[in-house]
Amino acid sequence: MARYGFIINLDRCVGCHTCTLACRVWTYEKNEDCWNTVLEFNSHVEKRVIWIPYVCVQVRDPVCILGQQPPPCVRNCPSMARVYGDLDDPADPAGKIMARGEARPLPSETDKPRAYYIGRLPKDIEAQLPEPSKVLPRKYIPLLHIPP
Amino acid sequence: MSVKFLCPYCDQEFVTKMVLGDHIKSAHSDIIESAKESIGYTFCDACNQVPYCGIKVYVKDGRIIRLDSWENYPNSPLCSKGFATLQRQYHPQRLGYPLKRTTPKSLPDPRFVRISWEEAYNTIVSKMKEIREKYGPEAVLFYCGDPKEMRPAVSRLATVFGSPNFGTESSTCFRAAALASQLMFGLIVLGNPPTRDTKTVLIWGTNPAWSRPFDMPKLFDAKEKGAMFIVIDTRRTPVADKLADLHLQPRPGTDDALALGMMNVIIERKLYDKEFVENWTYGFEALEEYVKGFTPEKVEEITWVPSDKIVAAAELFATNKPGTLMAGVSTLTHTTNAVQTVRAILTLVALTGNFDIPGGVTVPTYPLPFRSHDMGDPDFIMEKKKIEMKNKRVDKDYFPVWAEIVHEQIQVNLLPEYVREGKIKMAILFGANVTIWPQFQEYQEALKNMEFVVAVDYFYRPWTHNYVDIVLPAATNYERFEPFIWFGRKIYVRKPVVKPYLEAKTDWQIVFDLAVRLGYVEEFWGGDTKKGLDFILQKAGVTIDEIPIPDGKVIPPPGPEEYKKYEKGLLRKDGKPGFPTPTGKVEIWSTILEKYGYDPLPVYKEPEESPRSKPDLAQRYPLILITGSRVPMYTHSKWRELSWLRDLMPYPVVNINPEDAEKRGIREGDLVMVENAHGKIRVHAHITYLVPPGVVDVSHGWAMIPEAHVNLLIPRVFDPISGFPTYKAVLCEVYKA
Repeated sequence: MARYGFIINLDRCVGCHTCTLACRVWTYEKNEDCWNTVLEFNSHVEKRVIWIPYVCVQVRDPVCILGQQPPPCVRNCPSMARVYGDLDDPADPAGKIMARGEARPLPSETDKPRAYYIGRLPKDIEAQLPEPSKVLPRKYIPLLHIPP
Repeated sequence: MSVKFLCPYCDQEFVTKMVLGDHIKSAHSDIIESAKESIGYTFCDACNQVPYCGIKVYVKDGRIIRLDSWENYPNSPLCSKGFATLQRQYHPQRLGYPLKRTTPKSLPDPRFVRISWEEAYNTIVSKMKEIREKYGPEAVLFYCGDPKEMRPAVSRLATVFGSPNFGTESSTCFRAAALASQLMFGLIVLGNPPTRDTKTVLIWGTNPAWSRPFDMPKLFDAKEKGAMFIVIDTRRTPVADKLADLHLQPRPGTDDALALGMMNVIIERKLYDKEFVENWTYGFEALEEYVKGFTPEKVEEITWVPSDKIVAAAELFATNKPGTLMAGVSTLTHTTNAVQTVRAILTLVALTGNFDIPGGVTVPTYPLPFRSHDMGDPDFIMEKKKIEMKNKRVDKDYFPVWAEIVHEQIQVNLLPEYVREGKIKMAILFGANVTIWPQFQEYQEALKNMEFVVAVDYFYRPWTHNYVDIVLPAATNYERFEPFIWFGRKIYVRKPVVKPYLEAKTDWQIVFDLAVRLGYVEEFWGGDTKKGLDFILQKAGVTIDEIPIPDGKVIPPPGPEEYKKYEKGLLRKDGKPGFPTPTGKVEIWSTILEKYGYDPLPVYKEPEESPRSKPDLAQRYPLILITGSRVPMYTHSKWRELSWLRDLMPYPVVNINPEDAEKRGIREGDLVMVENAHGKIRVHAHITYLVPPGVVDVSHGWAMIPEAHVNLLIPRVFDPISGFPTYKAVLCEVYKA
């Protein structure tokens, strides 16, 4: 059976938050929460900032409209830092990356992961990474809401 | 008993379902149609790129329900801000009616009341005539903030009315860099993204990841194909982090010295392009002499950049050709040596012979025959007439080089002076925010002291609108069709996808309506904005209606793309080889700067306020403050009213390096004071390796949180050539509040 999920390239995520807003725009209609977020960490070992995207499938199935197209967060990523597809199908772009064997789930993830990461993750960040259910979802904000 | 079928739309009864179906199809087709989703296309105005990004819009029942990137469109994909424009469209606080203040401007509460468009137009027109009568037409300032779409229309109205005093927010962004380039090349050359021929990419003071995300695919692509990246940025930006083979982090405001240091290496080691330098540049000998003082060791002392990195960057850019440049148009100009800094960096392009070769820094061979909307097409804005009116420009004595080269707009930054001297009495402001300026209270005062001020905007923004007389509601990018745009030789147009909110009108329509009421019926095509756009388009031999949506239309070029156009006489109007400068060469030694008494070489000048220029002050305020840098979720002061974006950045921060924070006992999220010789503000601390030790980066554009306004910390000190403010090089200290 197909196992749909994300592969995220940490060497490409530039922290622009386009994925999060694309998710908002494609989920608010259903009165849904936003199921994407990008966290920012300092690596004291490497003295640099790193951005780690968290995605819906770490907690639940996608809520955006999924047809033939990749999800809005994937097709609107300016640095092509993520793909979505069948992780177990070597013919699928996502499965192809999985087959290389470098992709790994977040250390904080428990069973049956559906989001895998490639690219450099500084050692000291690994221990800081929260569980997906602690940072997702970003709560629903109505279209007409005015910030405080 | 007979079964009846009731029409859901008009309660009429029918005997069969089929008859009811036919009835609905014929009598209520409009309802059926509108219940379906339809797709439209528009341009995005969330940031300030020209040409604009493209939005695909899903509409149902006359309402926008979803957005996506316009497919097969050059600037793609959209960014966070572009997606958030959906929330802006339906924001409950959008302006829907013209407003008139009912108290004198000396009182803080303007008590605005709703008026009709008729009353608004009549009041504005009679005030314009009155001011023209009393002080001359040049006493009316026409100003455009953001977005840039309305600029050509407003500029044309200014010219026709007889005022050369049309200005824009380009007085603080882009135009000084463009001016620097015009002084050197006679053309606006500020670099471009890599092509498949590019071997070295020099990214200087810009972070496209957060300012032009649509460039990222090209950059990652070049990286994968093996191009080398030199990133010069004080901050460790995502672009530096993800792309740089060499990352140089100069002390803010010393990019001029760094460029001169790289030139020193290139000239000393004879790595420059001798053929280009000998034949096509002017002033090389003087430069050669001048850069002798800028050895890598000396430049390390000035800029904090290790000398071996300066050597490596210079060698790489000079030898691994072709190389291109992507230069920040505002970072590099927000110091007291703005124009010369950009000239120094552009000189590197000339010395290395990277100008106008495939994969290098190029200009198009056959651009479409009109100029971009941020400057306005010369025929449309009637630039010849502006030049004739040059003597009435309010900036001509303060910034004579700007007044000579920058025909299409004045330098606005001395507005308080212009008003105090009685030269400006009235202003018509589109999308203006007076708190963009350092010590903005003086600009609020200037608005207050004018006889009449009109503002056009999407929202009521008290920090500007409390000081004006009339506020008009503008239609958004989803509600307007003006203007069209183009990429290379491909033109795109759009149609409004929804009706304007309440009584909002498009900027172009407001300008055309005012013009017609002032009697300029012919000059403004009887108020028909489409005819106005067709006037520009006719130069390309098309009309708006001939351009399909969403595909756009390519106007075939007269010939193939050419390189080294200076050899072929393709850059000058007279068809002679060379550059459109007074000497016909790339002017490293600027004859125009020389004429006005400025240093003709691209010289280094320490920022007015720095650890080197003011060592005593630096004892008290040891950190260097930069501001105005981009964040991913906002463009300058725009969109704090959108909760989808505020969710990502709820309040302004000072970005501070962990080392500096620790020294001061500051933890993440602490409220801290940022203080300097000019003022004191309170913001939250954000501890991050984005900034190096010794430098702090304070968020700008937060006028709604008055105690956090960073422009209170910026002095009114300006670059003498361009008048640009010094947002990126002053001193400060940070401590716990």
